[in-house]
Amino acid sequence: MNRKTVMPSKLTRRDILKYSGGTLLGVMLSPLPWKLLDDSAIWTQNWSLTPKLSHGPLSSLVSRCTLCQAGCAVQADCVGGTPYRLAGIDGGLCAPGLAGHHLAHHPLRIVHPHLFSGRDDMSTMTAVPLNEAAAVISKRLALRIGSTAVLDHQPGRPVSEQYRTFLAAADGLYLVPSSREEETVARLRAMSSVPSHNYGFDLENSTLIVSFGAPLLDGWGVPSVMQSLRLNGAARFVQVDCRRSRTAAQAHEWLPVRPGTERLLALSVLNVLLHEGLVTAAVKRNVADLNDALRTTRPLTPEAAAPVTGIAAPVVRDLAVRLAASDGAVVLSGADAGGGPFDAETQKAVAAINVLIGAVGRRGGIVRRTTVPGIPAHAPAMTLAEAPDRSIGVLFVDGADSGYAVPWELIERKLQKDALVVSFSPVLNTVSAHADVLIPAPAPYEAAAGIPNGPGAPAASFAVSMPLLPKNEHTAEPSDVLRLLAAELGIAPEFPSSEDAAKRTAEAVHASKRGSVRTPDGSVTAVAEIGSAEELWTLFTGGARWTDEPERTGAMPRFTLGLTGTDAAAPTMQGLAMIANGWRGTVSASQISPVLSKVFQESELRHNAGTVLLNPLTASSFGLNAGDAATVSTDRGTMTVRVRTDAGVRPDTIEAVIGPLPNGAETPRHPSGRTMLDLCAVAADGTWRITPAFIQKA
Amino acid sequence: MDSLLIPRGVQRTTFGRFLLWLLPWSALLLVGLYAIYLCLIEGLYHTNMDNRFAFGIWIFLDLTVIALGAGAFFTGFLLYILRRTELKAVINSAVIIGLICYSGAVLVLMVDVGQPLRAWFTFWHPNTHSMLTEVTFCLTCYLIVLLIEYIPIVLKNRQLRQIPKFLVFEFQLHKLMPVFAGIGTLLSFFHQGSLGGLFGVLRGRPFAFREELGIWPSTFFLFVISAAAAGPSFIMLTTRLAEAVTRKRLVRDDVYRFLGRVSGIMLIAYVLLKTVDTLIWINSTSPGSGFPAFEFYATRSFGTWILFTEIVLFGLLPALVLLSDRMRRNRRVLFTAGALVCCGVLLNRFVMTIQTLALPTLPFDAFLTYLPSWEEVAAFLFVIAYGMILYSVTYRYATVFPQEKELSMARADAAEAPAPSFPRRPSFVTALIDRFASSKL
Amino acid sequence: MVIDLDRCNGCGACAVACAVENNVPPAHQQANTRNAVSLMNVSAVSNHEQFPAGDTAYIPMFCQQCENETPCMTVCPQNAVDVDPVTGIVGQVPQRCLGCRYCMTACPYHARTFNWRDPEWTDGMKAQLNPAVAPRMRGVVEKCNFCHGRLHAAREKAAAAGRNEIDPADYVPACVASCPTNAITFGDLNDEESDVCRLSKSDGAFRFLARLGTEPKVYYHTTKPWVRALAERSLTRTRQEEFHG
Repeated sequence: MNRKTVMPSKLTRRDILKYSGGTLLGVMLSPLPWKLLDDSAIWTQNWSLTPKLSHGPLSSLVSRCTLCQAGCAVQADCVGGTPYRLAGIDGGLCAPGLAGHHLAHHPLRIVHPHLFSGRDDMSTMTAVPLNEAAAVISKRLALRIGSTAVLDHQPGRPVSEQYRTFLAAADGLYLVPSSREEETVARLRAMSSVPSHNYGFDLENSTLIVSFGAPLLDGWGVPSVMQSLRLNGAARFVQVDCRRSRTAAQAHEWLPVRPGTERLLALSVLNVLLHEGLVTAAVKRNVADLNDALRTTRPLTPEAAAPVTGIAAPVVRDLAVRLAASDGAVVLSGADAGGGPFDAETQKAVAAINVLIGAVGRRGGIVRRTTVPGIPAHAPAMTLAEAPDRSIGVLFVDGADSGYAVPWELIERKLQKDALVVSFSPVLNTVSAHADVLIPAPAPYEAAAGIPNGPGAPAASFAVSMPLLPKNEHTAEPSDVLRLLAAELGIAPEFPSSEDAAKRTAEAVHASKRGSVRTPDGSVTAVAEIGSAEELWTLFTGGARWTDEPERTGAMPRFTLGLTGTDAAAPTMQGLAMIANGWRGTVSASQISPVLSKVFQESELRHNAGTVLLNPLTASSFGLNAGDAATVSTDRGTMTVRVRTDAGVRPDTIEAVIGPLPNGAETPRHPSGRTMLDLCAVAADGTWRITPAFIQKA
Repeated sequence: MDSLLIPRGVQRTTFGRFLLWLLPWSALLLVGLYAIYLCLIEGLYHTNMDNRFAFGIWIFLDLTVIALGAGAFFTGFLLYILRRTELKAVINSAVIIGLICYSGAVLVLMVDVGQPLRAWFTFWHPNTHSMLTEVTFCLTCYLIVLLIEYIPIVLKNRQLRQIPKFLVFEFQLHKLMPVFAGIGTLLSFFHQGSLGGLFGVLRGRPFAFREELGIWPSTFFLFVISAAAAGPSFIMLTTRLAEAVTRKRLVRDDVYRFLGRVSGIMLIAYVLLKTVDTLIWINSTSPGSGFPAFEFYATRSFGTWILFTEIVLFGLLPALVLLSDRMRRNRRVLFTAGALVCCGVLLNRFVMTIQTLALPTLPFDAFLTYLPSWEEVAAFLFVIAYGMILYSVTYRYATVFPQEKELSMARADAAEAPAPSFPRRPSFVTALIDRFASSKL
Repeated sequence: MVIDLDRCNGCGACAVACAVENNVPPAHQQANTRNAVSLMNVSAVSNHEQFPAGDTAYIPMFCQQCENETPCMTVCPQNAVDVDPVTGIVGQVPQRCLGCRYCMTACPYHARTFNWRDPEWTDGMKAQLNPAVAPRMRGVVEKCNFCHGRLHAAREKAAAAGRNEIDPADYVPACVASCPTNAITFGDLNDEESDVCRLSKSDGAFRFLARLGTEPKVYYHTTKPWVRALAERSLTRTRQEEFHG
């Protein structure tokens, strides 16, 4: 009986309910459910698909950007030795430069040497060891079919010197791209009686800068310096441009010249200078063919040119008067990054203006420049366009980028039928993708590199970019390849690594005792006061830049202008004028960090490849609206593009954007990776500024 | 087996034909399920929504179905609180429609949000200033109320009734129903209003922003009233649809007429308030925030015609029709007017969601367009398919329309005698409106 | 913050520096201007004059840090948006965000972006992410918070030096630091002595959509009359060339 009361033999339903209720209440009072709730909260806040962040000590390193020849000083903030963000030290970095450390990990990065079979199919790309790739090249070199050539996008570097040494031994051609900052000074060298002179633009002391098409305020030279000149400097920027380029938009004045009539405009400026008594006697004495110039320009008055160029005569006259009166004026011509160089006659006319206004050798004008010690002065390099057609048997294309477009058509034209193209590019791009052999060089910040003065700089200078990232073991520096080939071919010279080459240059700089070194913190030391070459090298690895004193020796040479006046009028053409353009450094021989999509794909700050800009009036006359797909056809082919409209575009022209390719766009080797550059008519002289084109709704 | 589940005294089609009817809806359900899977597992990039069109067809239709589902709360309110017993004929149907609309809306919302697993954070870290918090709380609670209201309908099934416990439970629940109706009305009032408030508080969207009355923007009240107007009309239409599909009379005409009258009264009140609200907005609120109101209507696609259609064509017109006793007696006119009311709510919700987002705010913004992706459409069709199936199954196995038996017997007797109608109790106002309406039309 | 639109040349350095600083993933293949994850968005705005009179202004647009009834904060159902009472910076807690996107609807500046897909980087780029900023997951909203990681670093530095207040020189957002034309001035608007306060009161300074009454803390500055006129006109009529079905 007693037992029964203590332990009921039968549980009633009510008991179960009571027990469960009590248990529930007890559990609620325990930490368990709250802990579970908290844990599930944390669990839902985590998301396994976001990457884990790196851990490690934070540090700051200093290097220099090698994306273009400006070589801006860079501070890299690192975690565990890996850079995670870059910042400019001496002036801001440009947008591509800010993400330069990503390039080593670009989706189209190539780390192994590759052999391609066939030029247009991605699928036939096979990875091979370096020796095998080198053997393919040396076998071809040994056949001695056609000439051997190197296309160097960034001339003047220590590695450029190695190319020259190799080519001297192999009896080859050293080529530079046709579009360059130094177009005008190269032309001046050719005009002068002493072609070994080097020149640069002393823009920091200029008061009037007249640019024919050069993208001065859109990546030209050292971009941050150019911007500070515009914003804080004394110079007035006058842009002569057929389209409303970024530079035209930012310049103080813009002369919207008709496409293809820049030469006539320059000649009409010369007309005013020569025939209205604006040229000093001293300058006149210095011009060998003054009478020819007078005769050539006589009929080309501003009044005669105005209906063709679209620039009113008083404007031209005024410009000429200001150019003659200003003692810090300079005139230069140049290419849009995607638009291609001017023809030789236009370049000559622009260079001649500098001679006649006395800008050559004057402060704020075009000044003589020394060369970097250890990198000797050479005769002017041959441009790609100047190389004989179908002459090259083996072409090496350096992996660095000039920032300017290089149409494959132009390269192909110089090649023999079965020529071998070797690319040293670390990424697949619209040039390297055409190669037969790809031996990837280290990506930016993966290897040390010597950085000479940027193009157009008024003084020789030198700096070093130190690696921030580990070098991939499969990549090879161009010097490694040259060394292998030299051994095979029995060529004597040695080819030091880029770091050793930079060290040798530093030694030469130290031995010269010229110039001074400026460290990133702004302190300046004369080279003569630096004790040893090692000390100088330490300064270089800390981001310092050596700058030479200005060239003071030597008399001013005489100039032969060689002007011609024929065919100065604009060519008549059928259809619309297609003007190729692009964002410097993104147009063909390069890749940019995928993050740059914020600028050209995820915003409309820059347009990406496959876009054409039309004036809304032009667009509507073809039945096109913004956002429509349209087909553009030229004599080179047809392409489907996306139409954007902008009232700022010149009517009856097509502004064709040739780069960058949007993220995830198929690799350039694939036929659909073609850009509008492939539609441009590349003329025999290597220019493609205007192409007649037709557009219709797709 | 199937026939044992069917309520006594009513005719139902064969099981085979019923399955055939369910087949296309099930197919739609599966397609919708796949779309939902894509959105939940792979991500919302499957939709055509973007940063500027952050809300798309889902929010627009959610707002619409919740307004249409308002019949549940408003019918309950009229039946249990105001004792309009004639509504007993449609209360079950109203509850089912409400349940479908609300559960469907919540389901789509869960697909719509980026991290549905965190949905409960709203209860854990609520921001009491947010209209969406109010919506979430009320929606969840009201969904529970609807489920409770739905249970008796299921429990009345012939077989389930045989379990005495269920019978007792159902009976107890029935006694509590006025309480739930009261709670439901309160909850509905708040979330219908908060859904309106959702857009009315958007200070950054002058097209939607409205002056505050108390702590709520005027859209709060407009949404409540418009939902109360659309709810009965939607019940009327769905019931008529069920009649058409089953080829049976399910409720008596006087019930339809009563629903129509309720709709009409609410709608005329809505139209008046909406007109006042719009005038205040055009003359004060909108210009006060720097946006002349008529600039909003400068685009071709969203011109002033949309305002006219919303207020006059889908507002004043059906309101006057529904208020006229003579018009209501014409079934075709009655249902057309009901459809117009529902269209009005649809258009209003469209204007508040899609048009608000399409219009630019920054001076350099462009007018935007948006077209839903197939995944968005399919996910919503899932809700329609699910609703169809739930409604059909409930209709087949439970007593949704209490008058069905009576009406079918009457038809079986081939009695041509007019169905007895409830005495109409016209209020002074409705009588006045009626007279006004009939004299005008 | 004050942005001089006359100095901005639309180079995009700020947008890139912002993405690098804040671990914003690169665009997916299908990404475009409307579904981008972009905390800093620079718009090119035309004056719509015909060639050659056409002019373009570049307008950097990002979270304007509204002070009064911060639209996004008031609407967030679960307090995933907060306003720091000390700095006045509007913050976003991605770990709490439900992804309902109501805040995006509420924001008149379109400063908020949604992570429509999982973020993707190449493996090497993952190692190069900023260790101070947690990457956001799919399905949450994000926006500019004036580089919270940098503020945190400046506070740590101040704490290490035993100071209560951060040194203003230690804390500048990535866009400010990266601007090659120094178009952006950053500082404490409440500090009467600061450059940013002086500039915000200068002639030609304005705020976008000021009449909405949200009191944004980002000012713009221009001397160009047409840009000024654009800013004062709250709503532009639809641009014909932008409008197509």
